[in-house]
Amino acid sequence: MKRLLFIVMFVILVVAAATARAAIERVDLRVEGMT
Amino acid sequence: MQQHLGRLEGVDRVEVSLLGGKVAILPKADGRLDPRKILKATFDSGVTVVEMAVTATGWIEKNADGGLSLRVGGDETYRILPGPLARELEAAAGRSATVRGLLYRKPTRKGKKLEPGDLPLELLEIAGKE
Repeated sequence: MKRLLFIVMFVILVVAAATARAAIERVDLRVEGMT
Repeated sequence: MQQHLGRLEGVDRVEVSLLGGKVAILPKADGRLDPRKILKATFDSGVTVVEMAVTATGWIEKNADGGLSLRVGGDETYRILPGPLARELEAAAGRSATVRGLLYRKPTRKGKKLEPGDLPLELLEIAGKE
């Protein structure tokens, strides 16, 4: 039972860490007409 | 324009280089950038966007039509345009990758008009795969 709980917690942590990393890290624009 | 963009949700810093008309938008540590809102805010500030590129980490997903998408959030997905780099990413489907790509390019006169909300990702570089 303890081992199963550990595995579930580990999977949740791995998924949470990977999801948190998913993001747009930077946006670069090239524009015209800027003064 | 810097103020317009700086007020957007999730934006930490806006770096403007008048030379070459380059603008870099960086997110807050826990913030999320929305390219559609950035595009709109830039146009609203009175300048024309020639190109918009993003650097993003997300999940590579296979679509029903066989193409690929990059998922960067729960409901935030970008369709990846076919090409040599997209083919390279096919093996990474179901895994995470960091890519740089064009989300918007100013349409040419004869070019197809961009559908609202449709920002396909034209890959420029695969920075990392897991």
